[in-house]
Amino acid sequence: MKRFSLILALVLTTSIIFAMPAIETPTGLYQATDANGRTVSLTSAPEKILVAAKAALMPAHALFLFPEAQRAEIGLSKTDQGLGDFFPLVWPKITVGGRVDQNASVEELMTKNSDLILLKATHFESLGKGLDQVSVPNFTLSLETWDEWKAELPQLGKLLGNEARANEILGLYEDRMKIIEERVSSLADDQKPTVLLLQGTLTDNTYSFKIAPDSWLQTWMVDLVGAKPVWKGSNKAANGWSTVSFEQIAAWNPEYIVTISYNSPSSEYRDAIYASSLYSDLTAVKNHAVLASPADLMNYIQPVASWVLGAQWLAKTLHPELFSDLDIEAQVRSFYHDFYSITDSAVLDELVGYYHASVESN
Amino acid sequence: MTDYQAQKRRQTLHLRLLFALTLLFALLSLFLGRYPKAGFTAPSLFFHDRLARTILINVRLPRIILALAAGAVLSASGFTFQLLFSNPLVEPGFLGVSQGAAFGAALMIVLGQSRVASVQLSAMVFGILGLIFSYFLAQRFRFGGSLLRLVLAGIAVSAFFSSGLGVIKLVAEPTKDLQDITFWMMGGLWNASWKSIIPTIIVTIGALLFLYLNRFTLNLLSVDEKSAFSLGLNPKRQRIILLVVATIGTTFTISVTGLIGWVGLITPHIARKTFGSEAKAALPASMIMGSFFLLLCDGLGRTALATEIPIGLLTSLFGAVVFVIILSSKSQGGKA
Repeated sequence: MKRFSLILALVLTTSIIFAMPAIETPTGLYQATDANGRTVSLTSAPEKILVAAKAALMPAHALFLFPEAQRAEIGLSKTDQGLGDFFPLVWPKITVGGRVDQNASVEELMTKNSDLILLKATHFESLGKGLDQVSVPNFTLSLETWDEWKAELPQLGKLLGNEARANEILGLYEDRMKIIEERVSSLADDQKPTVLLLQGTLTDNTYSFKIAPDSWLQTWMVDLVGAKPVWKGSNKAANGWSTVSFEQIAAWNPEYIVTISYNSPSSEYRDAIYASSLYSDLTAVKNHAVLASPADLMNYIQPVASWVLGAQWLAKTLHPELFSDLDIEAQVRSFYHDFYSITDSAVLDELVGYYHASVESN
Repeated sequence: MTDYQAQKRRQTLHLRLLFALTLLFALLSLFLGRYPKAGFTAPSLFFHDRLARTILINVRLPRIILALAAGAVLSASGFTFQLLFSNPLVEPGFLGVSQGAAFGAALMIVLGQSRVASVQLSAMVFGILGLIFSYFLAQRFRFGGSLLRLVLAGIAVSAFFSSGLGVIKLVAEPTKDLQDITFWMMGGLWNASWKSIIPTIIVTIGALLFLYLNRFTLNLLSVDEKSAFSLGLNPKRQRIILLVVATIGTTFTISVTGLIGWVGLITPHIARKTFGSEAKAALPASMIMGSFFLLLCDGLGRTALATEIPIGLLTSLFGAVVFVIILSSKSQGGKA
């Protein structure tokens, strides 16, 4: 009986502790709503910021658009997709060895004593809720579409105490997009080329290709630059890349094929298509219009900050006559200068060099 | 003519019909696909469209052949396992084979392509290791008869590989490796090409032939060990040989196709229900039904949507439905 009472008391105490609501952070100067609709408040500007968990690249990319990131003590989980790590270029204090484990638990994250933890919205259930339970301020970002960038960047700005910079960044994006939109707006429907973006994968020496969902930035980008994404409507329900057969690619038979890879040079997949006899009768192959997507230390055709460079490259590639004055190398240089305040010409040269290498054999 | 002879003649006729039907369906499948539009491709197109001819010869044909071979071997292996273990709920994934293969494939995907060993080889090696571990673990168990010990060892080995697979998925890169692992675990024949299917076809035909030629031994082994021994067999040795052949056939197939469940469970059931429990007719029937079932699922998987539907999803869906029907039917005991 004594033992039973002890167990009962233990169970009840544990239940009460877990049932208690998370301690409310007092409303402060720095308050914003995150991608999961939560209001996060900080009493002072965050001085120690941790970008945690998998897919940290996108929140980290957004964070470093703000000068506050340069002044704060930043911890990052893995941000190298396979082409190299961008962040040590922006913030040399970051070292590869100092990275936080991508799979770090709530308890492990707590040991970092961060003022703010940034997470991709997909980690809200696995980490965000747990961090709430222990009153560690955490803010989620989705950043998968341009609409989400527009909505979430000002919120991140609010939390960092620099909403003006967020609006400035959005303005910079809009300036670049406006040029594209204005020039392609005059295109008739039959002047819009058909395009297929294919993410390549190589498993056991076999190449296969995947298409992006309709709702993702990649699909929207092709629309934006005055082209027809042939796969649009085929991957509505999925929340990730879906494999397509050669037969389906042949049925679409687009004028342009753009290969994408986030962890290796995209040219590998372009070359695989050219080398395969199976693909030789496709229009894009015959017209030598299979192209590797541009990249520096990150591929531009993805929802990282440099996606706008991907859109500019795509616009110029598909409509050279409309964008003959658009120098992409100069755009890369000005992007990193304007968005990330990189002024060191050696660093800018390095990034431009990576870009050049990614597309020079197209 | 005796009743027995009449029954055998009927079975032979039914087997031939089933075989002809499967071949006809395979032929029809050549005209099903996404090019130039989803659905039926007019045969005339192949005469004047080079791309259509390429698709017919280099895409659809190898894929259909792989579906036929994979279906047959998965089903025959399931049949063999069920007969040897006298347990109708056993399939090739039993004894840690599938989980071992999944672990091996995932391990290689995460390690990358720079290694000498490939995903296929790793899947096969770990699948066979699953069987070996189960066998030796069963020797050490001190509980129950030999069959029960093997069943329990299989459960333990499967759990071991499952947990290893969980760890691999946890550390896998979400933008690439995790997607590859997930798709591999759901199966697919979209990678079929002449180059990739030839080794698989050779091994599966070898395994199928061996099992087919040993169908009488299978019958004898399905009775108790003493009776089998008195009929001149070395039950332990024969059992191991047949299990190894069935496992090699299965692992070699799933190393190319990814995990495809339910084929080895459902089709042997239907075969036994239709042709009786004797391996002489039920084993070839099981092979043909397995081919037909996988051909049907793959046809749907590659035609229904613009994106590939993983074949494992379809075999599980149809398999589960058929399973429920079989178990709910009045005469679910099968013919003797």
